[in-house]
This record gives sequence, structure tokens and C-alpha cells, in this order.
Amino acid sequence: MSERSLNLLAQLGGIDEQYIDEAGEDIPAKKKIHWLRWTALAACLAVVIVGGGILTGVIPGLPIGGNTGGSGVDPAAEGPSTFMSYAGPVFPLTLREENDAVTAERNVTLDFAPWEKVWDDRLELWRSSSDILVTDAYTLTNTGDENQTLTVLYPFAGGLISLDTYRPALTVDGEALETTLYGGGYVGGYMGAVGGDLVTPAKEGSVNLRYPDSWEDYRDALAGGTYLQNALGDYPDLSGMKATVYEFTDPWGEPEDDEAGVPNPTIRAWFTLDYSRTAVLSTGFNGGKYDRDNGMMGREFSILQPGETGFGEDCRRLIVVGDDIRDLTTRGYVTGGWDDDPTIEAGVTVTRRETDLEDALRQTAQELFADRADDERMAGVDFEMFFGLFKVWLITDGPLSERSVERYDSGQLEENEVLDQNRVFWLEAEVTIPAGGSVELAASMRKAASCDFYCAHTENQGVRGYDLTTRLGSNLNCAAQTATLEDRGQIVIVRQNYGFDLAGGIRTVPLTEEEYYLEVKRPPEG
Amino acid sequence: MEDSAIVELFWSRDSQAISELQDKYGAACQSVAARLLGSVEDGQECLNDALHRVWDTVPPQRPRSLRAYLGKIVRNLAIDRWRERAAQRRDGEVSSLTAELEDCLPAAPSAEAVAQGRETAAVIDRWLGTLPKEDRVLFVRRYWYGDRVDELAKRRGVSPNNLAQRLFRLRSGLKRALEQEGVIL
Repeated sequence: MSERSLNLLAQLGGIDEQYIDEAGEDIPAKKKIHWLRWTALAACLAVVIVGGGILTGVIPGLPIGGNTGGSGVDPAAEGPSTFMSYAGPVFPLTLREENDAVTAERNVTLDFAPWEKVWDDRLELWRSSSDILVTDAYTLTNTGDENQTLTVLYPFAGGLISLDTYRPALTVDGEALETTLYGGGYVGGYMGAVGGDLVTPAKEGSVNLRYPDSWEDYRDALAGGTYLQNALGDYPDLSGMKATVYEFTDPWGEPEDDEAGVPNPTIRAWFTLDYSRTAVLSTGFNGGKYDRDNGMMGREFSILQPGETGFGEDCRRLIVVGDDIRDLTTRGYVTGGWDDDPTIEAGVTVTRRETDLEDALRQTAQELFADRADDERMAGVDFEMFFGLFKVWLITDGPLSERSVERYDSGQLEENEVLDQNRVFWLEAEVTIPAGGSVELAASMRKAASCDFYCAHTENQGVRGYDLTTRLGSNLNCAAQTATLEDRGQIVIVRQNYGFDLAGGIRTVPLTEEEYYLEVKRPPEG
Repeated sequence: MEDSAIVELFWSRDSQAISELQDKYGAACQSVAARLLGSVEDGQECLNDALHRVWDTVPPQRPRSLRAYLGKIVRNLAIDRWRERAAQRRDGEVSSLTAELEDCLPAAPSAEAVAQGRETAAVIDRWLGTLPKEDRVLFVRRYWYGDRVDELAKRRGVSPNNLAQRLFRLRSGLKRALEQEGVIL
């Protein structure tokens, strides 16, 4: 890279508007009209698969749809902002089983130490974070005559990929507690497509994620206790379901050559199936074609060329769930797409094996997990949890779901978003409280801020929000709760319902409401 | 809302103009900056700044295409921000784009050519005008919008390798055009 090429890149910005607009209409290709939606098939399969009672474990029932969220705050209205990026609230501790002999007092400290700018020698700049440090401390008192051993559950919001940063640490009387982590399903829903030009308003549908954007979304997810029950239970066991795996290896064909009319040598696989009794999942395929009327399906992939990543090592896989496919044929074509393209000399080794869905998916999940291995945030992710939640996704939102989520209707397993979806996790630990005694249990964590991306609501520029709930999902008998603000001179309060008063020196306040919000920003420079 | 109506809102100093502009083109423009910088958060901040600049410049400006107007500002802000990171790790699509554009850099021009040097964007415009629409759109999507090669390839049903070759040919063509017109970079 040189300054000259950077200049050229910058000067390219000045090209004529007509060319910018022209290219702006070059929207990502939608599925062609002859592509049938996967959703109907998934619904049929869901009857076969779920209705057949083969699955074990608990299948979470998650909300779909709901409000479309939004950003900013209505100045005329009181209450918290609805942030575009919502980090979820701080939740209260709960117990596996209620215990009348134990009472609690809680103090939550919101510490803005990460807001303080620190000099980074390596990058040679001042850095800070909009995270805060939260210490959620409980004095647990045993009012009974016998020692009490509790199984405590500490909930927190986040995604698998952020566990390394935001997983709390639990201590009792200053000693670290050994904990077991449980993860719930996706908290949120789906919404319709924003146009391929990224400007058309969203319509009804389920192509896009609708992220949770308020504490109420978490409240709704936790309502009734099923979400927690699912998280603490076993993941679905799919070993009782038959699967047939077709592996496509060692593809070969005429080399890519534009001038010879072979722009994208492609292998197409065609087969027949009963759409009402078969689902086809895939990895490694670039596209597909569905001909439901004639009971046919096609899947295709480009033949990798020497020098391309994965050349000589790639393995494409079809996982057939339910009745097997029939009459599988493969043929080479000059390009992708499903037109009547010329054929080429090409081939691929196809192997077939019968197994169960659990086995087939485990192998695939391992590959998908390995694909993200370079992401340093994966450090906190356990494969077994990923695999379990991958199966949950598959049957609750994914292509084997009866919920007809358009986002995943291609059957391509690479489209799963298990690592990134918002969830509630629980840390489980055992704590013993002597008769008549007390222990100090604390959860310490970094907490991300909620924020707006844009300035549609200019009053919210630079505002960061932090929510706290006092009773949500908790069976703990909490006699008193307080919150303490360690502002460190880093903030001005924009909106809140705590009652903090920095000028008046009120930094610890009692908590009596179900939910609290604190919205702050940096004070003006100078 | 039509672009012209949004422009009128700006001219009447109605802050609804910013909301309308953001709703219509914000996501697309933000994604350009996010791709260039390799950071969604940075892209958001660039868009935020750009919306302010539109507010500050319309009026007196009266853009014909708000997409292009906002997009140019966002893109420039993203490149500026990328330049400012001189001491930092440089990631994002700018690295790839500038590496590719090395192919386009004209040889050091003669004094005569320098004398005839013209504004680069105008030269690029003329060169774009000579291209088939498909190639022109491809070039602009890659080097103006910052679309990734694999995304463009998927969209066109060709392999990334194939698309990279097409882009190489286009860059070679631009290099010739820049040299012929004595552009100094």
C-alpha cells in the first residue's frame, strides 16, 4: 500500500453521481422465482421430526416477531431510551430451588473505571471503553437452625462469542467459586427484509434478526420459567433420528477459463425426493434449486481452482433427514446458476453413509466451529455448548424448525448464527451458609453499554445506557437492594430512575422498582 | 420519501430531514464505511458524522442524488479516519483496495503530461463511461462501495478467482487511461 494508491482510492470517491447511483442499484441477487421457499418443507418436516417424538430434551419455545424496535428517545416521554444496540440488563441472583430460610441483601456497584482514558504505548493514543465494571454483591443470611447448601444461579446477557469478555466471576467471602455455565436460546425474534438496496423499509417476514432492544424482551423470554428450564436441561438428542450423509470430495473438471467459455466450472447434483418426508441440509454448497412440483432438487458448488483456499481438501456434504433422496446424479457445467448452460468434463467422488442425525451434525458442527478458530473471542466458547445450541437453533429457528424462519430456509448450515445470537446465560455454583450465619457472594463482570448507532435522535449522541433489574427471574428473598455509582468524574447523567445526584453527592440509593436505567455520556471536553 | 422532498426538508431546516435521510440511505452508506474500515462501530460513527455534515452543507448545496452525496461524505470520512490510524493496526477493506489499486498507478508522468494533468475523478469518469455497464458497475461496487470480492462473485454466479481476474483487467484499463491523460497521484 502506498500513499498514491490511497490517494487514488480517495479520488475515486469523486466520480460522477450517476455511476454511484447506477451501481447502487446493483443489489444482491435474490433467489430466482423458481426457487421454492424452504419454509413449507421445514414445516412438514417439523411435523415428522418433532411430532414423531423422537427428540429428547426440552425444545425451547421462543417468541417470534414482536415490536420492530427503534432508536432514540421521545423527548416528550419519560422513561428510558430504546437503544439500537441493547446490551441487556444486569439480572439478580436466583436459586435452583427456593429456600425460605435464606434472605439476602443486595448492593450493585456501577463502576465507570473503564471510561477513564489510558495511554496505549503500542498504539500511541489514549484509549477508553464504554463498558463499565459491575459488582453485584449479596449478603446471604441463613435464618434457620441448620446449615443451608444452596445451588445459586447467576444470570447474565450476552452471546457465546462474547463470553471471554463478559462472563462474570463469582466469589464467596472473597474466594473464587467454581461455576458451571448454562446457555439459553436466542432472545429476540425476526423481522422482514430490508430491501436489497438496504434502503427499502422492512416488511413483514423473518429474513432479518430483530434483536432484543429492551429489558422487557428479556422479561418476556424468561416469563413462565421455560427458558431457564431449557437452559438448565439437556440439549436435544438427535441420535434417534436417521440421517443419510452424502459427501462430495475430489472434484475435478475443466479449468476456469473465460476465453474458453468456462468462467466458473461448477458441479451440480440432482436428485429426487419426497418433499413432505425429506429435509436436505448442506455444507459447502453455493446454491440450489427446488422443483417441488416434480419432486426434484439440485445443489451446486464451484470447483475450486489451484491456489484457491481449500483446493484439494474441500468436502461438501448433504445431510438427508427423513427418507433418503433418490437418483442422485452429478454433472459439470461452465458456470453456476440454473440456466441451460453448456456442460463440461467434470466429476466428483460421492460417498454415501447412513448414520444418525446427532452424529452427522456433530461432524458438521466441529467443522463450523473450527472455521471460527482464528477469532480470538472464541477463547471462552466451549464446543459442547456450541453444539448443543447449534442443535437447538436447528430445530427451533433453523431449517428443521416448524417456525418457518425465512432467514434459514436454504438449508445451508453455514447460515447458523449460534455464536453471535443474544442469550441469557447462567452460572451455577454451590454455596453453603452456616446456621444463623451469613456469606458474601459477589458477581463481578464487565458490562457492555447500550447505544445508538445513528443520530436520528440527536439528543442521544454519545449516550450510553446500562439497565438493571431487581426481581426479574429471581426467587431469592431479597430484603433490601441498593445501588452505588462510582462515576470517577467520567460522566454526566442524561436520564435515570435511580435517584443518583452527582452534584448533591448522592451515589448510593435504595432500589424498589423492578427495573432501573442509567443513561450517561462524557462531560464536555475542557 | 423522494430525494427532492428530503432536500426541501433540509432547506427548511427541519430536523426530520436527518431521520428521513438516515432511514433511506443510512444503512447502505454506513456499510460502505464499515467495509472500508473493517469495523461496524467505526462505520456507524462515520455515518453519524456524515449526517451532521449534510445538515451543515444543505443548504447551500442542493444535491441531485442524496445517496451519492451522503455516500461520498461517508466514504471520505472513512478514508480520513483510516489515514488517521497511521500508528495503529490497519485493517478493513481499505488495505485490500489500496493494494489492488497499486495496479492502476500511472508511471511517473513527463513534464508535458504533467502540464496536461487533469482532475483524477474526471478522468475516471470518462474511463467509466467507456465500459460496458456490467464492468462499470462491478468496478464501482468494488472500489467505491468497497464490496468484497467474494460477495461480488457470489452475486454474479462466478468464482472469486474469476471475478478477481476481471477486476485485474479493469484496473489495467484504468491505469492506461490515467497514464494517457497524464494524471498525477
